[in-house]
Amino acid sequence: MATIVRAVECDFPVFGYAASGAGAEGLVRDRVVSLLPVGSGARGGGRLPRVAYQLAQRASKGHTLRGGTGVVFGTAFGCLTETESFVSHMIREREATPKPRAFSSSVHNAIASFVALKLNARGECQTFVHGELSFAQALFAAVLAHRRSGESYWVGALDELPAHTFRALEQGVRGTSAAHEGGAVLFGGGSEDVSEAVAGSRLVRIELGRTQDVPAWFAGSDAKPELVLHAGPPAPEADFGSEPGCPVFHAPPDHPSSLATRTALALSILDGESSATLVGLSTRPSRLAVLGTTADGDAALFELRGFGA
Amino acid sequence: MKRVVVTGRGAVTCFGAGCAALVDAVFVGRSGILPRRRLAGLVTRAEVAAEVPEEVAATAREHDSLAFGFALRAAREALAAAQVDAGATLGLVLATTKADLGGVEGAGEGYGRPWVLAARLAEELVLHGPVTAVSCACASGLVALAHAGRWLRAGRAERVLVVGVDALSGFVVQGFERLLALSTDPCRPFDRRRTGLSLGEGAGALVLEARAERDGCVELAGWGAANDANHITGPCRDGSGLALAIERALAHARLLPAAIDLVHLHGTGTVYNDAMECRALERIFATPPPLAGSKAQLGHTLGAAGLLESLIAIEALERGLAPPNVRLARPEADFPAALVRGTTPLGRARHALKIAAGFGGIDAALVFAR
Repeated sequence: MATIVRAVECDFPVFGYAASGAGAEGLVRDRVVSLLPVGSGARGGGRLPRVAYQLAQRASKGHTLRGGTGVVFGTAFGCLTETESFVSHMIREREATPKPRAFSSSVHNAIASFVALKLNARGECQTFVHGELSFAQALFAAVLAHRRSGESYWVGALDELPAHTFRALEQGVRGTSAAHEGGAVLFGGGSEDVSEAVAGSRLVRIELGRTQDVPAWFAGSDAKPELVLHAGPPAPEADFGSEPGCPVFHAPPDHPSSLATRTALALSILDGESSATLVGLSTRPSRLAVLGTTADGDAALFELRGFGA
Repeated sequence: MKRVVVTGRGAVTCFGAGCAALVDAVFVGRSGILPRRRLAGLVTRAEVAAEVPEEVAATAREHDSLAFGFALRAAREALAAAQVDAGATLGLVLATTKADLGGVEGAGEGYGRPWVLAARLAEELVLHGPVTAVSCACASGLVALAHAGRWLRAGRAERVLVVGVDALSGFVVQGFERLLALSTDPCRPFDRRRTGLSLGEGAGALVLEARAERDGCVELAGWGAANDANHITGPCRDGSGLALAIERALAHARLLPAAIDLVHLHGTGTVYNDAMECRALERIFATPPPLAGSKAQLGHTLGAAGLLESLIAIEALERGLAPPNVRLARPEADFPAALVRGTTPLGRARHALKIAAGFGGIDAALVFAR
């Protein structure tokens, strides 16, 4: 299938990030949030919304928040714990008493909305539900929104895997990835001058398309990234030919939101918080790319630069 | 900067398949909220809903998914109206709350995965462009249209098909029942006797294109969104979140409030939503233009609502008529007098504001210009 291949150049500064679950192991402790959320400040939501809130808090730690801050999230399945609870009460146990909160928490946007509620974020609040590229769609939306608004955004993706869904995956429900949980949130955008920032990175390019578009995304580039972190099915070289023309660090996705955790790892390496040796580099890079591909042939690419680059 | 214009429309609703069936019914004041038929076996206090007629549902069911069948039919109508050839380069933004839950309820393969529904739609329609799925509760449709507008302005696509869809299911009906949000009688938005909403189902589709000029088409001239940051299910009582979304949409369209000739309301019929909307409009308009909503006719179609009701707002501009607020007999004393009763001629019909709000405090607004 031919697709439109158009580079979307951008300048989206990222000031902070945090990750949770599988794929977050390479981050320093202060950037990692437990999948078992604790603390009174996170009460009132389902499991994923509470994790997302703590991730967002951690991502924006130390930054002054403004009233117009937006929340843009991706998720493949949303709050499955609450959805399973509602369905279980309604159908499987033939009970007429499913809990109303389980229903209201079962909507895909419950995660982003809980973050907005807890952090008083009155900007745009959007949720994209696009399988393993949900984070890519959310990040793209935030970049487009930022171009006009100049506001700050929490951008993230999160997925969980409770018991019933785990069994369904084992039975081969199409369109999902490996059986783990996790995700990440980054805080970025804004209109302040970032030239004097001493920490943080910026997103300079984002691409969304098909796997066959990937070589074109790298071809002709006079400034190749030093490494591509790839989350997707193994052995993409056959599809990509001689591109991307730089080392590729492959790792199959741990969960549907793996692209978010890979991005957090890339940011951590660019910032010098995590060791470059985690991805096979000997020195701290200044330019990394994160590539996501799916078994269905979709692809997304983010190019990130350290502020000092 | 290129304009974003509407070149194709399609609908599947309780009035049957096709835009003509929808708008003709709406502007003469018909309501499709009736005793439930397909979901008659569910035990709930509210036994009415705006279901798609069985002859249309039966055709949709041939695709093993009501949601897919509704979406496909509406999309094909919109593409035909826009004169889009098969295999054209066209983006797709899907808006839905629950996608297809057939598999969850043991009657199909749908497991509430909007991106699978979107991919299947793109494959069936042979669309060669970017695809995404938005799920922002009852504001999904307006958020999807705004996102498509951004794609067009950013040059990611030159034409985008936006489809909003939801099919009634036991999950959704029981959910709203448990929230005590359903009206036992057909809903009566903005009336002082309103007690809740009536659910509906269906699909709406719009084709948006980037053009240098309007070329006689209605333009999506502005969009804005905000969050109440107030409560996960209840609206912000003072209407400040929705007012903020409206202010952003007006600013984006470079219009003052006085330029708006019609507001097409969210108007669910719940006590707090309708009051919140009135408070929001009071914040924006010194003298509100005619105010009209359509959920007393279509029911609350959730992910489809934004598309279907935008389609009605566009039709209102073209006809120069405000659609009626069906079953509005006695508005609350402090609600605006601009709430129309029957179908009402518009003194001027250049700009319509479409608003929506959803679970999680999401507020969205669009401005259409003719």
